[in-house]
Order: sequence, then structure tokens, then C-alpha cells
Amino acid sequence: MQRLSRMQDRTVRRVALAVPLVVALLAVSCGSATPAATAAPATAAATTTAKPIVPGVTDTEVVVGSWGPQDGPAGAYGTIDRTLDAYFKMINDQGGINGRKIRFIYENDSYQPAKTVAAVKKLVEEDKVFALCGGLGTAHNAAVMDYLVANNVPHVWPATGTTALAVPLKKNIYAVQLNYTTEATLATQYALDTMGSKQIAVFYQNDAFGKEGLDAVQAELKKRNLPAATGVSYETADTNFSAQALKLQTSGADTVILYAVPKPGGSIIAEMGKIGYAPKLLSSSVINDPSIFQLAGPAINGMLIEAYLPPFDDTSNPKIVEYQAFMAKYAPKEQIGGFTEAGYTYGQVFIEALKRAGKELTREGFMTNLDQMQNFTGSLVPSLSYSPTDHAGVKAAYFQAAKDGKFVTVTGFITLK
Amino acid sequence: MKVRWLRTRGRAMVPYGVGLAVVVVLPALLDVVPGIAPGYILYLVSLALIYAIVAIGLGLLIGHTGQISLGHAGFFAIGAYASALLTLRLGLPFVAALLVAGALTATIGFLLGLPALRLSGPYLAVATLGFGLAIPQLVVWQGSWTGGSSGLHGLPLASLPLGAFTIVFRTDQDYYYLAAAVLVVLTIFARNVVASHTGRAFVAIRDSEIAARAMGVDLVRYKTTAFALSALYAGIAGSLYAHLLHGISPEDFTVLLSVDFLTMIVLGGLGSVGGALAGALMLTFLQNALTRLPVVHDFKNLYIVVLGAILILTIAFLPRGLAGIVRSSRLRWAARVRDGASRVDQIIELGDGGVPQ
Repeated sequence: MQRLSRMQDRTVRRVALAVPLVVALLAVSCGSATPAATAAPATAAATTTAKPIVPGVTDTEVVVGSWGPQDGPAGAYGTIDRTLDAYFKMINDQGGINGRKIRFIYENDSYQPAKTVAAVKKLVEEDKVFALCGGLGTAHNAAVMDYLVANNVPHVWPATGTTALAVPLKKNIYAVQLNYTTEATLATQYALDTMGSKQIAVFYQNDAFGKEGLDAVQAELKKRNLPAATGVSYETADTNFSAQALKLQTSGADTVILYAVPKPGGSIIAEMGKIGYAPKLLSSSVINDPSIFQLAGPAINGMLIEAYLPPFDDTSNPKIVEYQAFMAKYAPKEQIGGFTEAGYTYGQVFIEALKRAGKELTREGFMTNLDQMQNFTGSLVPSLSYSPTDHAGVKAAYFQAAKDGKFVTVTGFITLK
Repeated sequence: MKVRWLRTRGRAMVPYGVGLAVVVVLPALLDVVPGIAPGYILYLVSLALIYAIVAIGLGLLIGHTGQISLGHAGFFAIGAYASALLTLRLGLPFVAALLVAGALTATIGFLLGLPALRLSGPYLAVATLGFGLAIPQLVVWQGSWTGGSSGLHGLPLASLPLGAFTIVFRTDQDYYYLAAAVLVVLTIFARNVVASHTGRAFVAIRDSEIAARAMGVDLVRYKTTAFALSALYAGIAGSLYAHLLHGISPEDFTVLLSVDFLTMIVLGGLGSVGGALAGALMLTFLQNALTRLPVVHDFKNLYIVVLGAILILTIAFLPRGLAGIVRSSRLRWAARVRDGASRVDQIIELGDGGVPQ
């Protein structure tokens, strides 16, 4: 081999090394041309009408986009988009909205923010979606928030409880999900006014989520000129919670509010039980996972958590009967439960907004009408309101209590005071 | 002199000329293709170019030096967080943050290279895997200044001061050119390292540590150098990544990303700078293009199966990766030139059975 001409050797290598690069780059540009075939008719139809061009809107169609993981560790969330897709199919079967059928494109981002950005750029710039509905994840929403604001793409119901999307207000982002601030404030009010709590402590995760809960509790106490709550934090890496349990006990609090994920949450409840400290317990809904009962043991009985969607198995609720009938017909493979219930509700709210925007559909008109939505009761959420200055969405929740291995509903819907 | 330099040192300038030409014309090319969004494609290509930087660095470590790493997402994360924190919290200019991030990551790479001296093969793989897993956890633990699990957002635009002017990389196209320029510089640098005595020492260590030591190769020095160099590439890429997305979170740097990096260099062909580059571009392209396959029988994740099949077929039929195609066609052509077409098959047989270059 060494006797090959050096010059020829080098030249071939030089030319040939370029091949993968060229092929790959060309492949990227060609590959992306494939879906152009499907996108082309929509663009053509839009340009032939004399009306101003609204992205994703023709006389017969409106394009709606979303993103979420369909695979990987968070793949279970994928059912939300699939349910939303099924919901829009049902609407299309019923004739669509204002003469337009909905074309729903949901992208798989594998729960990776870099892919979320790619997905959203594709949806906005290539598929030219009119609006987004149900884009999922806290970090993922944060990664595309500035881009969506700059491009003025309406996003109804980002699937995350972070308050950052609604506060400060973004003109085009409509949060719906009960956010952690509202949730913690409701818990504090309920503890003080209904449960007769005198002194509160907060067990929280030392991050944005946990601190948002703690801050909301402190703000409510301060408003009433009550002494501040004792905050006891944990790190996600912690495995032993006996020190925190002692701290909570020595604080003398008669009520502990938990802003913790299932594992530490369950462990601290078990530890408090062990040392014979039995305060009243309230918790963020984040803790709601079947594993919690095993982790916490009997000490969890009586703990209250909040929920903002009605119980998905409560067949005495006509709205739930309707939801279950929809699931049986349009999404028989998906599971009846919290995730599909959420997807179904996103669809209800989005369709209502589309109806209100009327025949002359523009993004501005869509948002103006959504801003005027007051006490909308047509979705699973009991009541939903927006205003031009408030896009926080759900502000009502009800309490469930832990009882022998499951959560049972104990109150009706409660709103902030 | 110039011609001699080209021939004898083996710097393949032609492919880089062609590659550079493609890089320059790509945005114009995308503008004339109907129905696609140039911004979206350029974002994806930028991402692929940034991953290619990591892959080239990882290739130096695994392909040339024979030291495995399953933790490069960790280095990538350190570069990204360093750059994000320096620009966001300390207001450092982008270029300074990029350089500091690179230097910091290289230092950590050097330090990780020290324990790696005692480990090899699967043991080193597990140790580096641990490193990759630990970094996102440390980020969450130090949430008060790293932004915790919600991450850091709203990073300033990347900019480059040039005398009285400052270039601000505002659009997808601007950033694409920035990523491409950094990649070009780092590719040339990697090719130089490989051709230097350092590169030959790397290869000697890979082929036989005992023989290399007998020949006077300082194992401590060259192994730690390989780790530091490889980490430097990942750190610079991480910095570019953070500013491409204008924000980062621990969610960006999972162990799956480390596996992706490894896949890229195996796909491209171990021991080849051009191969690492090609592998990174190909994997990123496949991951994004295949999600557009039609959904058959409600099987939304068909693309993952197809991707797996493509990877298996590539490894089965191209054990030396994409660079292997280049190598065999080079041998074929060279043999034909020297001996006439009749001996081609024989030469190829010899070539495929031989040791990697």
C-alpha cells in the first residue's frame, strides 16, 4: 500500500473527503423539501385570495401546531398531543369551525429543548401555523418563549405550571393550567380560613418550583399581617429527611404545606410520622403519583392536594360522561386519566377561542376575542376568564384528601379571595 | 513551497474548499427552494455543525487515542453553563465567554484525564458515564446561581467586535455562519494535531500502550492532552449551543446526548476528522428528517426503528463508517491508476483486510 503514488493518494482523499460533507448538506436541504409538497397547496390557496394573508388560514382550513415528547423518558406526556389530535378530528367530523377544518401538526421533541426550538421554527416558518396549542414542558416553553413573542404567534395553553409564562404578561401567550403561585395561595387561604391553622411551615424543593410555592405562602401571610412561615428546604439529591422532619417539628407549626416531588414528599411524611409529629398536611398537586402512598405510609391519610380538572372517573358529572364517550370513540387506545383529560380540555378551550374569533380569522382578532373571554364554562375547567392584562387562566381548584391509598374529592371548586 | 506543503504533509485542502463553498452558498440555495423555511433549516444545520465540533474533539480522544468517553455531554454542559453565566451574570462579551468556557472545560478535561490514566476500556466508559450523569445533577443542586432545573434564559445575542465595528449575530443565517466559521477553524486545527508528533503519539497509545511507552511516548502527558483537547472542543461547542438557543437547562444535557456523540463518530468512522464531521451531520439530519416519515398504523415512533436499522446497516456494511467509503474508493482509484483495472479487486481485498491507516 505504501507504494501508491503519494500525489494521487492525496488528491483522491481530498476530493473524497468532501463527499460526505456535500452529501449531508444537500441531504438536509433536499430532505426538508419533501413536506413542501403537502404545504404547497395551502400557501397557493392563501395567495389567490384577495384578503390579507394570515399564516395558516384559508377559507377551508386553519393550521394549528403543538410539540411534546413522543418517545424517551418523558414519552408518557405524548398522549396529550394525541388526544388533542383526536379532539380536532372530532371537530372536523362535525364540520369544522366557521367553515374551516383544522389541520393539526404536532411535533415530537423527545423532551429536548434543542429539538423544541427546531420543531417550533418548522411549525412557524415552514408549516406556517396560525397558532399553537398545548406545547409541553417548562424548560421547553422557556426556550421558545422569546421567539414566539417576537413572531406574535398565539400559544393557547402551554402545558406547564410555571408562572413565568403569564407574569409578566406576554400578549400572545395564554396560560391556562393552575400555576404554582395560585395553587400555594389557595392552599394557604384554605388552611387559615377553613382548617383553622395558626402556624404554617413549608417543606419545599430548593429550586424555582419550590421557591415559587414558598413565596406565595409568605405573601399571603404578609397580606394578613401574620408571622412568616418557617421554610425547610431539600435538594433533589437528598435521600435522608430526618433532619428536615426535626426542623419542621421544632418550628411548632400545626400545618405543613409541601412543595415537593413524590419521592422526597413521601419520605418527609413518613419521617414526620416516625417522630410522632402529626401536623395538618397540604400539598402541591405535583406530589400526585401512585407511589406516594407506599413511600409515606399511614401518616399521609388526611393530607389535602389540589386539582383543577374534575375527577376523570366521576361519572355523575355530565362533562366527564361526554369526555369518556369522546375517548371511547376517537381515542380508544389512549388511557382515561389526567393526561388525556388535559389534552381534551386544551382542545375545548382552543375551539371556543376559534369560534369566537369568527369567520374573518386573524391572529389579532383571535387574541382580542380571547382577551374578552369571561367565565367560560364550556370546558372541563369550571370557569375560565382572560383579560388584556391577565393571561394566567385557571384560578380555581378543589381539594382531594388522601385516604387508604387514593385521593378522594372533599370540596367543591374554590377560588382565590 | 506551498505545493510541497500540500503534498507532503497531506493537508487535504480541496475538500475544505468545496465544503466552504457549500457552506457559503447554502443560505442562497435554501432561499430559492420553494416551500421550505430557510431559518428552520439553517437552525438545524447550525445545531449539526455545533455537534460536529464535539464529535471532532471526541474523535481525537476515542478514534485517535483509544480512550473511551461516555460523558461528553458533561463537558458540553460545562461549556454551555460557563458561557451562559459569564455573559448573563458578569456581562462578559460573547467572544471572551467562549474562550473562558473553552479554557475551563479543557482544564476539567485535563483533571478528568488524571484518574483516566489508571482506567481503560469498560472501566473508563463507566467512569466517564458517571461524570456525564453528575454534571446536570450538580447544576440542579447549585440552583441559586445556575438557575436549577428551570435553567438560564434570555442570553444576549452573540457578537464579535472587529475594530470600530461589532458584528451582531442576529438571524439564523448569521449564527449559521458563526458556527461554520468556528467549525472550519477547529477542523483545520484537529487535522494539524493529527498530522503532528502529538497525533502520532495518540495513535501509538491507541495501538499499544506498552509499545508506545517503549518508544518514549509519555503516557501521562499525551493521555491528559487528549482529554483536555477533546474537552476544549466540547466546551467551545457548548458555548455556541447556549447562544444558539439563547437559553439552557439541565434537560439539554442528558446521557442520551453523550450516546449520540459516540454514535456520530462511530457512524462517521473512528480515527478520521472528516468522518466525525460527516457522522455528526448525518445523525442530526437523520434524527430530524426521519420524524417526518408518515405515521403507519398509529406507530408514531416508527422513525426510531428506521434510525436504528440505518445505524445497524451502516455498521454492518461500513465498519469504518462513512470515512470507510472514502478510503475504499481512494484505494480503488489509486490501484486502477497504478496497475490498470485488472488488479483492482485484489487490491481492495488487501485494503479491507489491512490495519486502519
